[in-house]
Amino acid sequence: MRIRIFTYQLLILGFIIVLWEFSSKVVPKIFLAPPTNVFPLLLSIWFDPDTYPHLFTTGFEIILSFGLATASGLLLGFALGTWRLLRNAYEPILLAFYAVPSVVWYPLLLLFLGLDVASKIAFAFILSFFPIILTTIQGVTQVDKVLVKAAYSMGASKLTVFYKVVLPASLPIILSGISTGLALCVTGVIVGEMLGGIRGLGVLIASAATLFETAHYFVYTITVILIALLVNYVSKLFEHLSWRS
Amino acid sequence: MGSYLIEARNLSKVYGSGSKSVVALQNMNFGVKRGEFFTIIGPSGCGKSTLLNLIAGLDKPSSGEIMIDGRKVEGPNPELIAVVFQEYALYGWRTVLGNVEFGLEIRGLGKAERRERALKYIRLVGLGGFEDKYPSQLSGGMKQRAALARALSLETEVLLMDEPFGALDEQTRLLLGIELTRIWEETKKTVVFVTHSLSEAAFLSERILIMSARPGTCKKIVEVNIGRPRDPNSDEVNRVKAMIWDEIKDESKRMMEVGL
Repeated sequence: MRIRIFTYQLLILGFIIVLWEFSSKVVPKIFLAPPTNVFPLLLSIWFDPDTYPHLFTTGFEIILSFGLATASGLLLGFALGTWRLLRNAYEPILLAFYAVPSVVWYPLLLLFLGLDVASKIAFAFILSFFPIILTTIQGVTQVDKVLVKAAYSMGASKLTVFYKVVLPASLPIILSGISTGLALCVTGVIVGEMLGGIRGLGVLIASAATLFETAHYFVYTITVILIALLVNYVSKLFEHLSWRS
Repeated sequence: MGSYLIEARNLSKVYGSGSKSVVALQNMNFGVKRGEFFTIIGPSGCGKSTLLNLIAGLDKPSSGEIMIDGRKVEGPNPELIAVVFQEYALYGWRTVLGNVEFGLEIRGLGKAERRERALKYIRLVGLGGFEDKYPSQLSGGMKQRAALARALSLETEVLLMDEPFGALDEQTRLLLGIELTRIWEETKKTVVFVTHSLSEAAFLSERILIMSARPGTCKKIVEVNIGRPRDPNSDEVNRVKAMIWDEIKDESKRMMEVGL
């Protein structure tokens, strides 16, 4: 089964590359660089030490913003999930902010935090914080009341109920929120860099696009795809932590 | 009155306040004897589960009190009372063994002792060999056995059961009822059993408290003087069933009429 799935995946990939190569015969090179140009360039760019600061910056921004969003989202999510008053007061506000297209905040962040990494971290943080806190609240409030009641009947304290019942019971939902947060965090960093930055993969993409360096543009885009795949793999690992899988 | 292990005195429970308040229980007085199989039956919505929650200390009465072994119930009493819920209340991320060990963990028992005691009760309820299974891998009847093992492992004097077999099919329910009486006879516990099933009440109990429709009050206490082991289809059991039904049918009708 595994091998068959893999074969089908290779088939579609091969089909796309062949289609890409043939269409680049028709379309001008400035709009569509053929794979035969892109792949050699890909290797030279990947092994060029000048690329590393960009990759490092992007990676750093992703890890830091995701770490901050996860830590604060979980902490505040548990607080709001546990205390009804806080939840009733602040959840509607969070939902309202979540509904705003986050990109509207970005000019303000650039203004306050400058063109360097801080504005990207803040932007990616905003994007990934909301799904994490909102699913944490949802996870905590959806815990079956009878599980909590049973624990109290066996003499559990509030603290014990929290870490022996509420935490594990809400884990599957929370982990799905964290993996959504991670995906949005990558989006935030790349989009932030593209819209204005000094270093990073997004900056490279934006400048290649402006300069019509189509082959470069494709190389960087493929790099982003690979990062996205890696991130996807990491979030799968997160979800495997869940007892429901 | 002093001979009762559990005693309800002028017990009332009101939910909400003002014009929206609902009187769930009104001025209930009854006692449960030590070692007795005591069943509470009534039309659905009469406050049976509320009453059980009050005895378990999971909810507070609006007025009146419950005394257990001479002490007033002020909160959960895990040394004295274990509870089995209709919805099993098993922890899906723990195996059967882990679930049964839960209460013992909270009590602070060491690992070896916990395991030994949990396995003992897993075997007692007939789940031997399933200790490493997760709740999602078990049938409804097996889940309820696991929940029963967890309650029994606490080795409390009182076992409260809130419609424990309510979600099960009739055959499973009957089989578990038979096993429950066996376990009750072996462990000499005081069982307070809430049900809406006439057959269960007649087949299992020593005494049956019949509750009225909302607000729940004590309508009548019926003594069941049938020797054990009982035959669920015997004339005696059927006679008790008919007697309960006589008492309860008007109450059930009343609940239907108010649309509950």
